[in-house]
Amino acid sequence: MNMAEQPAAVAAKQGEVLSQWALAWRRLRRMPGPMIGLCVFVLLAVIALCAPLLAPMDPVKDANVMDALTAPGGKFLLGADHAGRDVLSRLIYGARISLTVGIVVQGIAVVIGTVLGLLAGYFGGWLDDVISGVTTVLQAFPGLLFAIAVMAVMGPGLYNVFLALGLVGWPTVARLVRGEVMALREREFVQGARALGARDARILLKHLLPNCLGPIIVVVTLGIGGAILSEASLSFLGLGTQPPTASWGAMLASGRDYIWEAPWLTLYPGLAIFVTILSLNLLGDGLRDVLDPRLKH
Amino acid sequence: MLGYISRRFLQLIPIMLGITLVTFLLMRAAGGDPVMQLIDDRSAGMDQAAVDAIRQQWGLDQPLPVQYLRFVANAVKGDLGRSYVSRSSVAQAINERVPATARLGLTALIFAVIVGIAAGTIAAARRNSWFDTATMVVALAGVSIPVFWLALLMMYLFAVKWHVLPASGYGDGQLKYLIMPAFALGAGITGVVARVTRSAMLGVIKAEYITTARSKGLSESKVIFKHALRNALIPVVTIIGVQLGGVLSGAVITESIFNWPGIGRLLVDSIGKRDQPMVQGVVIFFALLFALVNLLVDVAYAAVDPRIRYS
Repeated sequence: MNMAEQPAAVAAKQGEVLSQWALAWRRLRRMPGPMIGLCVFVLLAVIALCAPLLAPMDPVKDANVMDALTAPGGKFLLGADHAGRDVLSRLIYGARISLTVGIVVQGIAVVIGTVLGLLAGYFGGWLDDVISGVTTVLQAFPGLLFAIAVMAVMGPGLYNVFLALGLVGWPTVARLVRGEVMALREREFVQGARALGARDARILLKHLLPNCLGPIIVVVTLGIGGAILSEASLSFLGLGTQPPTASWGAMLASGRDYIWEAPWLTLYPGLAIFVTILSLNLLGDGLRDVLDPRLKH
Repeated sequence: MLGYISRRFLQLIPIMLGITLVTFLLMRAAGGDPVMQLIDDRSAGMDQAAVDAIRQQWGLDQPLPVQYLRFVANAVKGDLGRSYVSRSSVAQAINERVPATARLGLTALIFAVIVGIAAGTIAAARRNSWFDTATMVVALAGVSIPVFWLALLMMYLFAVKWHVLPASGYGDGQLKYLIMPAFALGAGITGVVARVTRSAMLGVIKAEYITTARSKGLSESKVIFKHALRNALIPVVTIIGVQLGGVLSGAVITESIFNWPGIGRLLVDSIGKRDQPMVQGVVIFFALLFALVNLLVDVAYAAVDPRIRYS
């Protein structure tokens, strides 16, 4: 038997103990697509964090009507909008809004979804019936529709966007975690822990939750992109963040009225959204391959 | 089989009740006093008796549970209430706009299914070829591109710059008005279908019965299209059902960009006018349609796939 060909044996020979995460990272590192996605996303995060240092002008205050709709070049590298504000500066600050929306929304979705999914999958019974019933109903609303309805009722604004999209996002996580837990709860290591007298809370947090992390990471990565796209769509429809806030979706919505004379107002914000979603999809695809091959579609 | 189908249809009832309850409560939760919306556009100095009369006339004097049950009882009969703005029937307004949305949505969906399945199949059959790489790059771009941006880009290129297609509107139903909205709506779904088809095909191609088919001396195209594709289609059919959700909510955006007289634009217009019954009606209509189609998809592939047990 040739043990040397098995990766685990190779690792043991080199005297290192590789965790599941280190192995996943090793595989991910060799995939060009996901690594490009990761680099682009990190770059966007740096741009968002350093926005005040990078932006040549203030995204809201530096507005001069004399500069309205200036074409790209010279003082305005990517042109100026209808209020004479610098498109590049607004794009740079817009990265803050988009990334914040993506991360906060998925944060809300993961916390609610994981807790409810763990409870439903582990305890079953009426608790599962109630939680599954609610997720089924919320997921019965197609795509963005429920978020549109929530925003229509609550009115536009960034905090309402967090709330609406978080509300829409958690059932996906809950359903996933519930399924994982149901598959795991009768396995030997869980029964063993129970036989040793571990309490429910310990089994849930120490034994079941860590085994759900891989799929959760995949869903969240793709979900961040989804949330960014949803925020842009809501803002585009006039239901999300409001002018003069520099949000990519809102920039596109106002640029739309000037598509004849100033196409750059729609070109660049859309490109920014596209590149962001693309990078997250590339990264998410790679993570799915290394962390949870079963999730493949 | 018949038992399975009827059981699935019975499962639809609690989902439908859930959809109507959630939507109804949402609309009432933060919407303020509906009567104030009703009299908003009329004289401001209306006396209390007149306000009460309007409240009674619209059934808004009843307790909330009674209002909900009335709404459901009417909805079963196809009555979704009346618009606060035009005072006309919500169901009728939706009904009038079904053809435009159906035309746009079905065109996008059919395009996505044909192009997506064809591209995904060929990509899988020629794995790692330039065609495969190109298809997957384009498919990923299709999945990642925002509908509204694609729509505006096309509008700029084909309508503003080259003047080959009308910028927006329905025309008299001519094909040239349909091309851009349908393509914008269908691009993302095409990408999803192509990706799912490819990965399902790659799973099937390894199977022993494919090797058997090849060793019988069948032509490659027969192996791919007759033996492999048929078996790979099950996950594809499922994903198409799910993607209908994308078509419906994508229609909201596409229709409002292209001024397409469908249900999606009705929703956006009604939100702008704070027409609560109309918003509620459209949301419920879309959700019920989505639930129903997904049930039909489930039943369809239970009928096709003998491995699915009806329990």
